[in-house]
Amino acid sequence: MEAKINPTEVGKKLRLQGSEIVVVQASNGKTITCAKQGSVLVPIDKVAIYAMGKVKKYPEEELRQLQELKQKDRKRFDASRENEWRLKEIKNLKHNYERSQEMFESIKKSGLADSVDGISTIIAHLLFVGEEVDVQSPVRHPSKLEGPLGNLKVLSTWTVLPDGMRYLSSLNIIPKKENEQ
Amino acid sequence: MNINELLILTEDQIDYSSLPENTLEQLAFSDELFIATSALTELSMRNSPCAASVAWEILSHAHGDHHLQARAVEVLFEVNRQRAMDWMEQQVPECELFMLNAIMELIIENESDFKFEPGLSITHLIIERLAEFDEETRFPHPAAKSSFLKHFGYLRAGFAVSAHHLAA
Repeated sequence: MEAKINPTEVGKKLRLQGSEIVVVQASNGKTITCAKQGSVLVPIDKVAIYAMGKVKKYPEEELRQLQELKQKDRKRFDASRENEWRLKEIKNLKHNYERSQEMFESIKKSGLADSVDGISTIIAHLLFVGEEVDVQSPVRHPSKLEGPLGNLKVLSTWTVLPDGMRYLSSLNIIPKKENEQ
Repeated sequence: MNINELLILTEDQIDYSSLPENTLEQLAFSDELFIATSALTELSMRNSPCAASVAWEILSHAHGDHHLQARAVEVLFEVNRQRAMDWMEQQVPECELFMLNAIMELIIENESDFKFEPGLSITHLIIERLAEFDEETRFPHPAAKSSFLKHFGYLRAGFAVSAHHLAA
């Protein structure tokens, strides 16, 4: 999984907008690069990778072969548990990949792009939303981001870290219905 | 790590295989849908008894998005075929097109389970619903539609005959 956009460029843009870039360390030792404004933290990858359709594609051909084996030679497919495990694993990758693609489709429809500007615009919106949310326990917050071609429906979930920072724990872009303007 | 500590991570930063089942269960119901999908899959890979109940909760409360729900119906079908089929039979006549597509893909993969009752009536319902769409719709995917008709298209003739008899 890799962002096409250089995170440093996004950082520069966000700094120009008055935000800082900080690194948060999780208790398993993983580090998370976040945009910070006041007491709000937005992990950059949730936008730059997951929402921008950058979740790695699943092995489509391997999925097709496993499904074909299951359909045509069930006995052989069932003979190795590895086949079933791998099938489950690839289906998981497929659903997460498709969700990421769908989010990006919605972003494109609103007129925003997978660019420094597009990513910074969404992060700036989330930093604003985080300030507005009244959080004592994890809370879901719907918001609308005005893009050049239309509104983007955003559903964010916020949690309060032990140091009191409001942290974006989930980001969902709600797809527009086919007949929705 | 507790649930709040896990939810600050991204989906690829979590080692699901190291987590206890009750934590996976909580993650599967979280709003972080990439993590929820992977946690549900981990329960299924462990053949955990709670995989079926978590999948059922997701479906019956329409939790999360249609990608998580599509994964949930796959998991439910692995562990409780009858319950999954009952749910599909209820959903097929009116569900959104993405879910119809997901159900069709599941049926194609498990063709032998849908050639006879109780699965056969679900395939009949799908054939009936497919007649509503032209080639232009995004869902069902043209590939899924053509593969479904390749496997079950013979039912169309039977359906037409039954409808004719009913009308008469």
